Amino acid sequence: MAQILQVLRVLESLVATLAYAGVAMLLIYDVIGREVFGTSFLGADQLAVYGAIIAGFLGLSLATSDNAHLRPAFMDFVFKGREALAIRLGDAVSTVFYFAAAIVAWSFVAVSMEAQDRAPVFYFVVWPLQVIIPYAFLSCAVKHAIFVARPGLKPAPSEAH
Amino acid sequence: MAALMLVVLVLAALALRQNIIVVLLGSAAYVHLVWGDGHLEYLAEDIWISLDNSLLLAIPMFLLAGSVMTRGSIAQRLIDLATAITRPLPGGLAVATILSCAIFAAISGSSPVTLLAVGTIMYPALLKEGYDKRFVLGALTSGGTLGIIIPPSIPLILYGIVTETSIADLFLAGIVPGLMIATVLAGYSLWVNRHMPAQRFDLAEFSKAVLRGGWSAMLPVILLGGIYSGYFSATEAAAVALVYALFVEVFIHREMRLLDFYGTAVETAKLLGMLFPIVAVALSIKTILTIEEIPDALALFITEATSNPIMFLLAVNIVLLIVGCLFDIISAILILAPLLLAPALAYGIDPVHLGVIMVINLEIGFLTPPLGLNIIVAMTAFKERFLTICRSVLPFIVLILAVLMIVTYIPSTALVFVR
Repeated sequence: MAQILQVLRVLESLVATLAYAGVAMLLIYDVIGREVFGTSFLGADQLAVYGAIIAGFLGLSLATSDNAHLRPAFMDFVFKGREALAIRLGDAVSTVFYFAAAIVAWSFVAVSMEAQDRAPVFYFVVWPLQVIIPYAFLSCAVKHAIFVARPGLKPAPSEAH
Repeated sequence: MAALMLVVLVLAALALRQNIIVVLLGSAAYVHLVWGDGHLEYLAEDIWISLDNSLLLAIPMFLLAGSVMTRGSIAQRLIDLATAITRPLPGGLAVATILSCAIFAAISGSSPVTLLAVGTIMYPALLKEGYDKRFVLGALTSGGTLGIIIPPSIPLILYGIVTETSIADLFLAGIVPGLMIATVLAGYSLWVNRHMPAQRFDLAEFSKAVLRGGWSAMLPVILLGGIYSGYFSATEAAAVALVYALFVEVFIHREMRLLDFYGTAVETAKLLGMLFPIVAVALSIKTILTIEEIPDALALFITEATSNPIMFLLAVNIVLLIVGCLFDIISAILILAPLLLAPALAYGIDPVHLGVIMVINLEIGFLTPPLGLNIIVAMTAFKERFLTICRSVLPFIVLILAVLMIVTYIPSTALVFVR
């Protein structure tokens, strides 16, 4: 299970980094092209938006890996003294929630696939990019399920602000 | 009844240790099911449509530029620069602390990161020089919050997106209030430490510090200059910021390798992963609120209660200060900004002005219990009691409140650069 977490983490980190690099290059190319060469890359910002969406959803899953999501703690008193149970129960609820979210997100992608929704400017179908939404939710569900089965694999909270 | 059920569900989710993403997504799903059209696929569609927005590109780019720029020894470089400038002043090191916090916070865009980066160096240095411990704790804890209002500011970007207000105008509007707060805090530091000995200005030290730290300190100046002169939009400014940050770190400071970019990008992706779903859900809920005409109804209700814009602004400030004590700045802006905008427009208040007022109010929330993020971080970083830190920031809160009142009732302080 630790290996599954590690593989997911490495793959998601690599793709997120590439997506970021792509976003940065597209935007910079656009600015330099316009300001220096007097021509811009039509649709560069649209491609950059897609890159940022991919990086963002992979970030959702990466933050789950590191237990880095913001969590208001003022209701923690309910399970005071039974923290381990509360955390495990919480992970079980998160598993079900993210799994349901993945199904709902997939139904949205299926509709888009059927309707052949296309990107502005480039006119390619967008569903292969939209798949990132159900993927991210499913990845979160898998990670929470692993934390339920093996609580020791869940890192200490590391909220990154 | 349905609203009460939503509150119960949220509290139950929080008791079960659910994070803010699950709580917000769950709440949005509930809103869609109960008050919307009952189709959850539309929530997923709303998320996609909300994020398919080029204005949002500014956020990852500024986050990435901030992460790149604040690696290595940047904090030390900025502190050296600020110290060299303020050396001839009595209590110069205290003023240098505020200056360093202001510049570092503007570059990093993160209040706790500023507190940790500058605090780690300045806390022992100030104590060693004989500065009062309570003052030192207060200055470091409060100084970090300056980055929230000084552009580029992520909260101002989010306000711009959620209220469809020009982000470039918001950045320009943040300049004077940000400088006012920095000046007031620096002035207070000077006054409190007026008995401390001044030192001779050292031109050689100053020149060396400019060469070492000047490149980083120029980042906000270049960005705002570019936006003000019309050379680039806020999103393009973010891309320029990233290129500049990479150039400085790779070629000037020589503290970054290609592999380091991987780590920085992953950290930024995590931040974005925490932020984007919140933004998407908030925008989705905003769509439903707009369809149901709730902001307009709220505007009507408030304008019928009082026709006085001064009273309205006072009430807004009080509400925001309370909200700032209880909620994080991102959620507060995303939820409240669309609700407050309609009444504000009814009173003739400029949306850019309202954005600056909101952000300053919520900036104070970083310093107020029970959830003041900077207080909690300072407790851990300086190993001091919660109450000690709370007491230390009190005079600084009063000063920021004073600036808030000036900015609230003299709109030109915020709008002077806005065209």
